[in-house]
Amino acid sequence: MKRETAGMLLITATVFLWSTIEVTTKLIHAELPPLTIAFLRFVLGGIILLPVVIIYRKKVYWSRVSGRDWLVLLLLSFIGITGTFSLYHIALYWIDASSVATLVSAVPLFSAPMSVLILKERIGKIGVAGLLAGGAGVFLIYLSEEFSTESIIAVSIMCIAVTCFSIYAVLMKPLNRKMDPRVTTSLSLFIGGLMMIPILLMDGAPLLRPIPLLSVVYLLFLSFFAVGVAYLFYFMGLERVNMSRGNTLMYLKPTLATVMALIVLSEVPSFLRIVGIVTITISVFVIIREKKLSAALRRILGTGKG
Amino acid sequence: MEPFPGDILLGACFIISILLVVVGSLVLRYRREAGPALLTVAGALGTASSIIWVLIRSDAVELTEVIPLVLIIASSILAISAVFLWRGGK
Repeated sequence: MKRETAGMLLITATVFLWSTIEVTTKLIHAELPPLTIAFLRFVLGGIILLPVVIIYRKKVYWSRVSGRDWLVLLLLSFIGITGTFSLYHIALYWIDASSVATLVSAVPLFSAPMSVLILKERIGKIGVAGLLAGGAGVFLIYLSEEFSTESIIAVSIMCIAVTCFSIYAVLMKPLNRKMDPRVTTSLSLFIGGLMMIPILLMDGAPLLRPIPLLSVVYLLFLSFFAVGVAYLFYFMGLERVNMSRGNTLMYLKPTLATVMALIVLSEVPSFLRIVGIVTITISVFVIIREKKLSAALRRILGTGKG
Repeated sequence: MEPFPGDILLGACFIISILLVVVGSLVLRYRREAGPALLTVAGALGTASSIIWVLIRSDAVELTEVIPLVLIIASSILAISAVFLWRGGK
């Protein structure tokens, strides 16, 4: 098999595994509180990823990594993993799996303005149009939910969670240049999982409790496969294909998750939600591919004038 | 309803967060830098946490009180980071 084909297959498998997260979580909601699920998901998944740190340790410029960088990693792990995924799992308790899957895929929509302000990256008119369309898509998802105070708050909490993750993604960029992204991601998933312990204790939720065998299987799938193996496949895939090409497959997540929610949970998406999912997917594509789209547009307009 | 220590804490947090949003966004108009941007986001998260706390305490929504707590911690981390990044530091 060609190296690139293998890479694309690995990333397709990653997207498939990531699309199962919301559906699998819904299946064990009756057995475990949302925060316990989040804790077990990241601690067990993080354990699988710890060997990645050992494997890629030689790619880290350890001499340039200071105590301050470790502190930044710790604080960002709280914002990006502990904060984001505590809120994510609580929101998932109240709203549909397909809505959550779509909103969590909208990270580029939220991180683009952050990158402009914090990292001084530039965004063109096409990017701004993508952002506006994405905002409209989020509003459509919001309208597609059952009209109750809980679901309105849950969609808002989900948007806050995605904002936290966007801040994490943007502020991690300088650290990723010093430490390999595979090392920082693996470490922050594990550290973030561990930092959920005090939150669990404050909430009175158990760290673990006896659950039926089938739920144990779902939980192990969620931790080992949807987090651990999925990230391993993702890292291995990105070694074989370039990042922008590999990440195009991520646009499949909302659609795949919606189909899985329909099959497994009988969650029928409304027309509004389908429009919202399509709008967000297109706008994320526009934001990520902004430079290429602008160049293509200039070429077309230039040819038109000529 | 007797005020719970958390109510007083979140009340103070609400005022501070609004101030952070106002100061951050005013500075952001003239200095498009990481510090003011993070301060504005920190203020927005703090404000959201206070509003969610009020909704939970008034029984308008049945959500766990951990949500505002997580948001307050995230907001505090961002506010501290904003101070370090205020002068365009790396």
